[in-house]
Amino acid sequence: MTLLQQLIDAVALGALYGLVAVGIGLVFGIMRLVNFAYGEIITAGGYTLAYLNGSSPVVAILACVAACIGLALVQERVFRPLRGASPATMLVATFAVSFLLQNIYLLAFGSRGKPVSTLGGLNTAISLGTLRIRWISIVALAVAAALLAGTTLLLNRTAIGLHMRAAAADFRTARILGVRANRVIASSFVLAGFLAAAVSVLLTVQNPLVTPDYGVSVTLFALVGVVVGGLDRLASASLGGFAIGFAYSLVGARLPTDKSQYLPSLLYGTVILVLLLRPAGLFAPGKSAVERV
Amino acid sequence: MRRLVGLAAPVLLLVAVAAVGSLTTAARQLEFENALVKAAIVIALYVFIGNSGVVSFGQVSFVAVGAYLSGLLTLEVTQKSFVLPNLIPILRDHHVGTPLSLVLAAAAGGLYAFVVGLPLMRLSGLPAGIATFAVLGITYNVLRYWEKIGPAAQAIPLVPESGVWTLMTGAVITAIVAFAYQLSRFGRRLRATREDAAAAQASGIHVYRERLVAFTLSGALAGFAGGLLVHELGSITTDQVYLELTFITLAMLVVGGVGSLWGAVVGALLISGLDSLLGDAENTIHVGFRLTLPDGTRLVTLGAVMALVLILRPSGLTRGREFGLPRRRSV
Amino acid sequence: MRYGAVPAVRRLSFEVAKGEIVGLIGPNGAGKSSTLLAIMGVAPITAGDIRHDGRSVRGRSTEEIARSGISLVPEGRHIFAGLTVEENLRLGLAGRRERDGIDRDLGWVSGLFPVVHEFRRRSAGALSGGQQQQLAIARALLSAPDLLLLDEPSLGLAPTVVETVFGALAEIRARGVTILLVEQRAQLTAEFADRTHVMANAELRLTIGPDDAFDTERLAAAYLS
Repeated sequence: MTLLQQLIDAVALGALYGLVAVGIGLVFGIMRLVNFAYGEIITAGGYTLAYLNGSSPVVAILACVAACIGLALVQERVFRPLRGASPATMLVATFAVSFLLQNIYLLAFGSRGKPVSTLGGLNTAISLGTLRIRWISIVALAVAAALLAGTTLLLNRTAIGLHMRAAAADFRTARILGVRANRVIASSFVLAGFLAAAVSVLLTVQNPLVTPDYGVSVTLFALVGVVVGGLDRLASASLGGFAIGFAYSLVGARLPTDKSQYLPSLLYGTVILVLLLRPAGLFAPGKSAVERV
Repeated sequence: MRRLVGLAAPVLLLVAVAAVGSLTTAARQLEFENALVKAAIVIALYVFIGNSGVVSFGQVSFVAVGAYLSGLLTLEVTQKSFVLPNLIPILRDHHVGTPLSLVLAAAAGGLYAFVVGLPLMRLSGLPAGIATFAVLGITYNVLRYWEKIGPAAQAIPLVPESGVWTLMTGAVITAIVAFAYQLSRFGRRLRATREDAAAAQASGIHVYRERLVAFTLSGALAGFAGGLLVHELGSITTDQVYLELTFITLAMLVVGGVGSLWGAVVGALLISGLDSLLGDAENTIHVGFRLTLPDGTRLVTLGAVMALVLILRPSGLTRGREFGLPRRRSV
Repeated sequence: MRYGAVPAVRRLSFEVAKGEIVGLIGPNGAGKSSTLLAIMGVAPITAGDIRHDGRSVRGRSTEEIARSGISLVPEGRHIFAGLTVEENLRLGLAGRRERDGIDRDLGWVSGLFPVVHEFRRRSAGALSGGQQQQLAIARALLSAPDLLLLDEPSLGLAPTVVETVFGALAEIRARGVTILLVEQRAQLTAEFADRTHVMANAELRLTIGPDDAFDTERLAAAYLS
């Protein structure tokens, strides 16, 4: 594989991670909740696709979207008592729900993994001169770009989007003006669920085996990317997610195998470095020193 | 003198657990031993997280280091050279008794924590959580592949196993050290930063330094607990000191109550007990009626219970308070 | 009501009739802001009741109260600095009970506070303190409230701006909106309002009319009681 092909793959993976980052960042911005259980929504989407293997792609995808949004709304309801709790409690509680869901999947579907064949055709490649690009890379990029644009439009041009942005900036004042807290939070979960569905559809093309911990590593890396990129703004969060996905794919492809075993350590080390030098995030505007205590 | 009640309660509870455990069958005893080791780990977590208010996802790294070091050193030299030929000489050619290995495990855990803490203690909140999680990731990754310091993907086999009283002693030692720390000037200063770090800093408390002290101590205790772990299990693999252990011990701490030693011990023992009970229920138990849980629901139920408690009672079962005798009412 | 162990408002009872302007003055920490926050459901009420149009506000959520015809202009304005002036205004529509008449009301507030129309596309954070205060009031008005609560609107404003604001308040009352005004500027408020209550130490101490605005002895006594 040439460098160009590796770059394209890296950009495609980065786009996926960027989507996950947006999903996490949306909910965090409004509720200040870091949802470790977000990956389990992606897994739910994967299992839905697996069980609808024979049906038409349209039906499968619609079902996947329904399942993801459904689980997202359930999570919203479950996390309601956590509003205003300490960050430590929130982290461990969402961790607990993530653990719970993974074990439910284990119980329900077994540990062997279910294969997904929907849209498997996208794994074929087209040739442009000496370049071989898989369709899925192009589709992933296009879909991610479209979704990001759509999300931005929603946030900037609609009333609900305005309410969400206001709630993220100053929740109390937004409520004083009449913005409905529950509605805004639920909307952010619905949108996050929709994005998770898209991720699961795209991800299962390249990784067709859905296991109970399918969404875990994606979420972990994306979460790390969100914090590194800058939690407080959706743009910087998604850039952070993209950066991590891109780096992971590219460095993984270019390192020889015996060195690539330590790739996670390399990435983690970089993360620590970034957090030490710019705790507000790499792409956050301005100050590098937040409250230094 | 009254305050020693705060230490006596958790210690007595640990002793009670060990006593009951020693009277049961061999198979059962393992569960009690496991509960005691978990308690030691959770206490180590508490020393840092409970006193500083900063969540660290990385403490299990120190448990891992302690477990590996202690396990490797207590293996027979001849066996070691055969099974793990790539180990560095210091580890491969020496053998020590269990107690000394525990001390060395504590030292290793403390040293590792100190080195990690030097840069990281400047962080708080979410960045601290992520950074410490990254440390866990690095530790797991390195232990998984570096054959010079461990068996990598395989398990360390044939580590001599310790009995329930030894493990209890270990847990009690952890509790005593934790209690001593929180009564000390170091502990009290750090607790002051928990509620309002800026205010504490303004009154002259050196936040970074106090956190580093607690983190190092926590690392030492975690390493020690890791030594206990490897001698309870008789072996260790990297997956046993990674995400699942991190999650379970953190949840035990939060469920019990993050802010107190009593909370740490209660949370660990209670959840271990629940885990055992559910394990039994999968094999049918009699609670007035016959209860049989389908296989695999144990973890689901455990996860559900923990999630419920965390969501509905975030301050934990003990509300973060030490065990205390009723106060005399002032008139 | 109380914040933790310390009661913020201990003994307070008054009524505001439709179309009135009622003032609430007193030294810092007297409980004036807390009263407004309690009306909006932001601060919990531990004893007693607050009724609007016969309905109690106890137990209702803040946004529900905002949507029932009460608007608060909070202390410190709390403008969304990252949004444009126009977006800030549109947020005010969230508390509106009826969807029609929006354009008419927009026109009205633009007339009251021309700066709001002039800078509508600018980021709200770029406005001066006085302009932000006008934006905050305009925003609150767009929910077409029966009752407008203002928490220290003159805080940090230049005298000319204060005049503009108070002039606007008179026009707002003329439109039929009832006003409850919490202020630091004792005499200005007492002169302006139909009635002014003086709070000190979490309790109501004195009620005065415009004629008593310059009775400094009485005022000082109430403040220090």
